[in-house]
Amino acid sequence: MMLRKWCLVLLTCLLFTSAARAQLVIEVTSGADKLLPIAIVPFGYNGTDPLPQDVAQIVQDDLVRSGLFKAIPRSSMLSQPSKLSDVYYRDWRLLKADYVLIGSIKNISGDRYRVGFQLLNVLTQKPADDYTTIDVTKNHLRDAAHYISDAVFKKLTGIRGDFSTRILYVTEQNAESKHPLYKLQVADADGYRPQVIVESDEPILSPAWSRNGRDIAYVMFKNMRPRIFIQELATGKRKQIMSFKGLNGSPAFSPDGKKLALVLSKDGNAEIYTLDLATQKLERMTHNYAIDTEPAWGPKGNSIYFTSDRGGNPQIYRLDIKTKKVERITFEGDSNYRARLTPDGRFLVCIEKVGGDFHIAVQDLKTGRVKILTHTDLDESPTISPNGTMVMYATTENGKEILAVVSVDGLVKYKLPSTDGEVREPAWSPYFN
Amino acid sequence: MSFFKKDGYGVPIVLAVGLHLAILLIGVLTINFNDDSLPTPKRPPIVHATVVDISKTIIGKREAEKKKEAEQQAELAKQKELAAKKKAQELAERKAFEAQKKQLAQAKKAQEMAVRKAEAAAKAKEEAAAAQKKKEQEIARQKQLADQRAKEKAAEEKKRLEEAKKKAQAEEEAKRQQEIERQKQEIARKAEQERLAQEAARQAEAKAEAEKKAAQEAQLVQSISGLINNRIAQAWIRPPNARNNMKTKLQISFLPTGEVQNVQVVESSGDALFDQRAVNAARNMGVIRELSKVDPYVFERNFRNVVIIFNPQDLRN
Repeated sequence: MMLRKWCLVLLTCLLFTSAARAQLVIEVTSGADKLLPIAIVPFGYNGTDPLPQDVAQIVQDDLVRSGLFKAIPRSSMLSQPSKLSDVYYRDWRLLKADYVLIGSIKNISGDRYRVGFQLLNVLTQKPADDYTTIDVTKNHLRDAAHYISDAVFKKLTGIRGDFSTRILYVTEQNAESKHPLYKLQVADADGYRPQVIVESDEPILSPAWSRNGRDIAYVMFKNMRPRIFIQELATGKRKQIMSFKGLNGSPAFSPDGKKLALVLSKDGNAEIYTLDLATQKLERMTHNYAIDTEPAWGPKGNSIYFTSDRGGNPQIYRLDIKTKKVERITFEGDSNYRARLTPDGRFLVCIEKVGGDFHIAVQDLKTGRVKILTHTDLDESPTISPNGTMVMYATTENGKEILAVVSVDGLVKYKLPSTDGEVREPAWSPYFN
Repeated sequence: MSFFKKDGYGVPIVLAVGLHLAILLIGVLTINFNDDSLPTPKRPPIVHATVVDISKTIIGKREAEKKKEAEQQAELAKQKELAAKKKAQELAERKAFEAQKKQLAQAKKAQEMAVRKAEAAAKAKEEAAAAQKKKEQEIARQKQLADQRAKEKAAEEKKRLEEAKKKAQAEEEAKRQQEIERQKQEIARKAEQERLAQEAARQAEAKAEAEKKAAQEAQLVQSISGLINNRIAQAWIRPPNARNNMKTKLQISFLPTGEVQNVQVVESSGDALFDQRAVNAARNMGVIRELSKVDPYVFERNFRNVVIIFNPQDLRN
């Protein structure tokens, strides 16, 4: 009996020592990658005048639209604290929120407001970030909201948010009539607060942003001839760059902002040229009997991607600026058009024609893999958000042209709020700061 | 014993020995008497007297004397013959049974010779008669003595026999005791053997049981590890910047209730967000109820502190 006991003791000791040596290690190699649950509590407000904007709601919409977050509905919130001291983490734990955003808006003088916010981690029961305040005027409460969205998004995804960026697009009203109206407009990235930049009864095409976001370029027909304009957004100051016979189109600012790539047919057929904005020196980049068009700069500025039918069907090619060597990039689908590069240069987004349909496709330039992102019929003009996660494009819904967004991974899709007329030719701005 | 058997030589021997002893005794007594009363038996006067006697009864009594002497001699011869016979018998007997007794017989013979000589020399018939009588008495006494002795001897023998018997019994008893002792020892030995065998069996059983327990524990640990893995994988919402082979190592401390008590980054991936999401996943896996059912020792050994390595392998990028 004694012996038996000792045996057990010994055995236990052995097990203990072995346990002490080899701690239990669990390796997790896959995740659910569900949407991150976040509760955005309506911001506290001390004023009497009703606020024009529900800041918390704008933040929530921004985050949800990104396709990475799931918002806890306000109706299920057990409490709506606006101060850290009022937060009971277990309430939020109960609602299965991983994070909580609280905030408050204070009227500090006239139409000036101070917006304070703080992100809290429910799981660790600690603030995830510092308490931050921003001062805005009443008209800029929406900017404050996008600013908060950017901060939260950056904190929780590691990616710079693009909620404060803007988009350019062209609308056409009275398209069926004899007197259509074209408008170049700029709006928040979520489609709100549109402003008309240029109005014309002749077509406006191919709006493009300069890399600092101050200038835009676009093609506007005048007297049935296309002309390229560069316009300062803030002042509306505009200048037309030299115009040539035939086609003048598809302006694209180089990453360093010094050059403009464009398409001219002055030498016979459409070719890619670059224009030095300072010296006005024009340089022809392509020499081919086929049509070369729709130039897009590689992120480092040392290459230009363009569409060419030199192989029979339109495909995307890459031109090395130094060597002028041209290389075909796309091989899938019947044809590919309108290339755009993600800021990291990893992905190429374009329109791929398969059968009679036009889809947004993304090609991994590292692996060559191509993925069709959209399954609507007439998708066109893709433009990529500055953080490289989203692609905005024009599509047709119920016979009406609208703007829609798809994430580069194809998992998130949303449409922008409809506006008057047909919407097309979107261009996503760079970061403004 | 054969000594007392009816058809053996026992009684005659006794008688013969008794007789001889009696004769010897008489002789001795006679000698002693002569020694006491007549300090000169060894001196020639005895011979001288005899000579005188012969000269005195020269004619008258010579015949009678001669006759008597002849008779006496015949008697003597007869006696002698008898004695010789006896002696032969005795001798045979002695030779057959006891060497010591032969010696005695020789001594007796010598003494007899002396007696005969003395008798031949002595003139007193009464003495002889008395001697005879005495001898008879002595014989009787001797016989009695012999009887007594025999009796004693018998008693002694009996006693001896009894003793022997007792001894035998004692020996037997001792033997029996020894046997019992031996048996006892045997039983004890067997018991010890059995005990050892049982002990060995018990040990083997304990070992087997321990091994079985260890195997069961390993299985349990594995299944709960799998559960934890699943729960964490379910709770793990990886940030968009997560890439395959990023690696964060956490140490999770469980409470015996299965709740997560503490989560600590032991080894960072180098990306704060990736680390944070790993911590969140660990925090968010919920209560592992199965842990509350686990044996406390097993829990202590395996689940008090668990290392979780977050190492995505299924990401597209």
